[in-house]
Amino acid sequence: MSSRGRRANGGLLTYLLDRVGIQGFISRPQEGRISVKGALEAAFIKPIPHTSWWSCFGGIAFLLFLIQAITGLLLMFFYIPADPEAHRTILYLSGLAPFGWFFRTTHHWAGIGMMLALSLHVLRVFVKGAYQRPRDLNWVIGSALFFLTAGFILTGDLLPWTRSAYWSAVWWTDLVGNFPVIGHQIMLFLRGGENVTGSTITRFYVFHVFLLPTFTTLLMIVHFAIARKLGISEPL
Amino acid sequence: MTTRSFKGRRKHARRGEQKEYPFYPNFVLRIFMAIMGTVAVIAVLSALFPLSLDQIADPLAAPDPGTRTLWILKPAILLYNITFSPGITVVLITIFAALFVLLPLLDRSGQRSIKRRILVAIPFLLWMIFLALSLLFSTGVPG
Repeated sequence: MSSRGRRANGGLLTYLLDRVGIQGFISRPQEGRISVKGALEAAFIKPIPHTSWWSCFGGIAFLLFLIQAITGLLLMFFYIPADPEAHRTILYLSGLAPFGWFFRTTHHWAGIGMMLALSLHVLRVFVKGAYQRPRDLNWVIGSALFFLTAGFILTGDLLPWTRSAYWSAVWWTDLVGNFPVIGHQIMLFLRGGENVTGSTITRFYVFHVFLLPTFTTLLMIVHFAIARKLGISEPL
Repeated sequence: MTTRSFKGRRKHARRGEQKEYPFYPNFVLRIFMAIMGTVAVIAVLSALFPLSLDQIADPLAAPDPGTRTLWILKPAILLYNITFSPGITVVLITIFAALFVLLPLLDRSGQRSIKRRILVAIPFLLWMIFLALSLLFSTGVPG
């Protein structure tokens, strides 16, 4: 088949998948079909270097992301993103729902832990100089994941609709509104109007449970695929 | 340079000659310990320090000076207290974020010496000191 024909048959997609290593992760290219068993076997027998405990913080951050996804899903069964139902449902969740307080607190601590683990992961990558080529693309994706995690915390804080969360949200959205040229439009988009109201809760809820998790999951897949392809960086 | 071999013995190896071992069965126990340790820490923290619930938000009420601040905002609040300008604060935060993301373009030397790493790590340490100061001294949401 000519190169033009290959491009027409998904050559660009194949190139991109090969660039980030996803194709090799989900299938054996030489077999020409997707094999879950083969992928699992390859994952388990893949040789990896023996590294220090500093190398585990990326994995711990991912584990805490999974804990947050599970506890967040359980909280969603009770939560209503509106004023004043948001506060009432959290009140019910904290006092009356079985283990509601525990899942809410676990969700909170896992968020702090994820940010801490990510910070330590970034510190290791930074000190080792692993942000340089060929891992430069992975640094950019990783830093995007870092900011997305901060976005999780910022949007999730308002959801209980408490007094302190309200004033925090007013302050930081107002700060965003002071960005030159486009700041005010971004603030209106975030708040759903001029002020922080019930519609802001709904918007932050959509960010917190749909948009941010979707982008985070997609970027994580690419991040892991590149890390798997290039391997863990060498020590100093 | 010195690296630690899998069985705990120290052995000398040149850079680029790291020994590699199959994930199974060499690293399964280590991964399991990391997972269980993390879950245990989070569960203990949740049990010992349950999250309290503040009063319901009232947009018509004036902000209380003692209102708790979201911890992740504290560096930004400290920056605001230094500059006294929300416009400058948000532009500075954007510049810091852009420098963070574009770091591979700023440091393309390819050198991997410890001296070089320490030099590059100085801005990071300054950032950590700033973060620590903001967590220690920053108070409520500025009016």
